Amino acid sequence: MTAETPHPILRLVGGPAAICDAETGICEIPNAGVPASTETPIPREQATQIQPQPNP
Amino acid sequence: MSQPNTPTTPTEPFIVEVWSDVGCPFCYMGKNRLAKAISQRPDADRFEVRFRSFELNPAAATQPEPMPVAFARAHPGVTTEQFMQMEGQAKQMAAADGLPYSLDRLSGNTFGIHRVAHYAAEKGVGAEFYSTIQDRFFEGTLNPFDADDLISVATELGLDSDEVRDVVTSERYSDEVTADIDQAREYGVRGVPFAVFGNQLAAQGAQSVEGYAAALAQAFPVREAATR
Repeated sequence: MTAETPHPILRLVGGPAAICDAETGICEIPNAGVPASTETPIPREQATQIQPQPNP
Repeated sequence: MSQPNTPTTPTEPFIVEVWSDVGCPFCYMGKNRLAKAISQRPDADRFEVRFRSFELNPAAATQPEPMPVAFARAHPGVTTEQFMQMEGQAKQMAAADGLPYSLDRLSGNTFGIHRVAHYAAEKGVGAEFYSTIQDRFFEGTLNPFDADDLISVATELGLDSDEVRDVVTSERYSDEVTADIDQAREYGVRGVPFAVFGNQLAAQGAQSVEGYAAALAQAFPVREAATR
């Protein structure tokens, strides 16, 4: 349940969860599979991501 | 939105701070899961959620554009079809929570929206304002980059339309937004949503209702014991 501590006063709880990455602005669903209907395989790092706030 | 999380007495609310960005789909889902976790408690009225500003893309254009257009420019190797499949995954996740998820959303700079949210917070309706804006955005019934839409929600919550327009068209509350972002950086936030429970526990990402409930159950007694 406990992952790395983000800050000395905070203790991290909870499991892996869908999150929008602060550095890339990419949103990721953990363990999301490649869409079955895709003929051309999508690189894993793209297949599990969406981006709500893309860079211009 | 940026009130410091100061020591409390037992009669004061237990504060859950949530760093969030308006267009972040998992912030939207996490917000509603957290609300459900709180509402399931018999002492739900003891809890208060405060949304803290976060910008996933500070460089986003001020002029909003359709999400697939912005995405294609940022990721030339990904087709629109592939992007829509990814959106479909998020839509399915929202549907599992009973939430609408419009695929016809805009992408743009959210700093100004956060400024208005801080103004609303100062007037005592920060959480209601932010939550309403985000819910309607994902429902597809509101454009958060449109001043009139922001003012409409604010006035629904009892705020003065002229004052809200002044905030929208100025740079007021920029320092408050920046302070929230700075605090997130200090906390080492790597992504949103990022929830802090009573200044002790933190949860990254959109946790399940059960996950949020467990965090509340863990953090609340500690706060209560400390203030007795």
